[in-house]
Amino acid sequence: MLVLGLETSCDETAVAIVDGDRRIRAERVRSQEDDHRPYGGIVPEIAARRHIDHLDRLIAASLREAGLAVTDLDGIAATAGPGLIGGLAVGLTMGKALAAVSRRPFLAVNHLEGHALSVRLVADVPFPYLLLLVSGGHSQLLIVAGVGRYRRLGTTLDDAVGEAFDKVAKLIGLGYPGGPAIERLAGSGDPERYKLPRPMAGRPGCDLSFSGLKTAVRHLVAGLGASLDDRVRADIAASFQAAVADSLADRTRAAIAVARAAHPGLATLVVAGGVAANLALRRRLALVADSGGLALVAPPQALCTDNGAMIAWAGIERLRLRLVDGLDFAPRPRWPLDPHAAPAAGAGVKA
Amino acid sequence: MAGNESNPSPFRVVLALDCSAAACSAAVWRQGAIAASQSRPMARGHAEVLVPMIETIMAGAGIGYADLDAVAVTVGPGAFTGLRIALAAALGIGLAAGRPVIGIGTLQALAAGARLAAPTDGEIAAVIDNKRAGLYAQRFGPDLAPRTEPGVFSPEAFVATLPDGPVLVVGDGAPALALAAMSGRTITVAPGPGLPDAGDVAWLVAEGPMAARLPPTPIYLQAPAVTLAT
Repeated sequence: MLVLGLETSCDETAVAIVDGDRRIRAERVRSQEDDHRPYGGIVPEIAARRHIDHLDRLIAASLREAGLAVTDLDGIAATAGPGLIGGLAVGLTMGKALAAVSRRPFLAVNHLEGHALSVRLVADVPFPYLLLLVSGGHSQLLIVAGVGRYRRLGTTLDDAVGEAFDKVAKLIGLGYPGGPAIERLAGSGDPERYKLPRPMAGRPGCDLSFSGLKTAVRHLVAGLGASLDDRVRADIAASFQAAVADSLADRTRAAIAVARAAHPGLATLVVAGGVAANLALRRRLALVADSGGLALVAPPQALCTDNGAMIAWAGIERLRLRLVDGLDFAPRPRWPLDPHAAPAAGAGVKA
Repeated sequence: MAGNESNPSPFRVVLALDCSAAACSAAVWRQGAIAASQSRPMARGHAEVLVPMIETIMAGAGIGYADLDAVAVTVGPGAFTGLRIALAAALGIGLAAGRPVIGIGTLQALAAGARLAAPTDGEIAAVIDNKRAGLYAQRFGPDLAPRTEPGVFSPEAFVATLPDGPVLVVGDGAPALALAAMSGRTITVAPGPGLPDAGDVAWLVAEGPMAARLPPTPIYLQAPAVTLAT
């Protein structure tokens, strides 16, 4: 089984061809970081322009690399949401056009399901598992009971964790994107030098919050005056990263308890999304999983940031269950994985 | 019609798409005529409607994608998201069917529609009301060859560029232009809704002037509205 996956929901134009034996036959990712850097964040109209400029070329290159024609594929999968509407419309429409011409099944994939199932592209992880999904747009804890079957245990009430990394990076004069920059700098900093809040720690439930932590860093930076030397910036980065780690660890421990009550045989904690590329956070979550009697499994870094392979793989999982979609599928800027979960105030698409 | 005898087009069977304004339309041109077409007024929702509409008219024309010689698409100026939706569909079909994708200016398509409906000896001015920033406007000869590049103008500024003599104005910016031209000169406003139509886009590629054919990349005329980080 061969499926083409297209991902255009945010600031990566990504294409991959994946087969049923979990081999990535071809892959192209064009990051737009350079296009957005001057603005200190993602500009939706610029993102959409770059997607239409590059997507067809990346598809053609992937097919060439794999030595395949469109008609050799068994299905075409494209991200239909959640995300930025302008980019979603580009990938979704081009995917539908390929499906129409080749008479192949079309799969409208939820970007979050791409992240949620990506671990199964690299490891034998049976359902159910607990998922911590952490990225620039999303921060959630979910039970993954099966393809298309999710129960949300907690979500951010305000900012996504990756957003907090970006904003703190900006506050201490680091470039965009902030996640990798903070992780690098934190490696040489003292995580105990500055006392920062551990958002939501000890609260009932499994929700997350990062807006207050970001504000605390802003006050800290303002209080330190104009000049931040390298030592101070490294210590702020390390202290911030430690606060995020403590908060995620506390929330994940709470979620393990809830998930275990619902599924006594639960064996795996999966962490996915762009922030899961942070190795310090991964080490911390491995300890949390271990003390909860779970194995931590995280996809390799290239599968954590946005990519086409996870969309192709989710397409394969859905195609095997014949969960095929019509060519009239509309883009969904908001598309929760768990339709029964109550909306979280102020979280927007991040819920 | 313009150019087809002196310069025969290699594109006899053409699928054309337009989502550049408040409508979604698709047409198949075959054997010198429109074989099937659809047009639906809509401000949004093009991403939902376009590909099923293409499937319907392809079936209506009784052809498969392999029968196409080219895919034509309006590339702007127009609504940014709509331009990209039609381009995404056209590029996807072109890629999967192994056929060229040809861009047609939205203002060129409007001019062709007016010229096909009412032959004229004078210039044709195509004007789209861009709501935020005035008019997207471009001038064409009676043979539909572009006389200017498309640009963004105030109605008054564009009127000032028009030549003496009769001018046929087409597009949803025509009322604003007629108002600006009130004192002094007369202009004729083409009948109809003033929206681009895929049928005219198909005709331009199959039988229109070579100069109408553009690369399949969007013509925005406007930078994204953003401010630099400080």
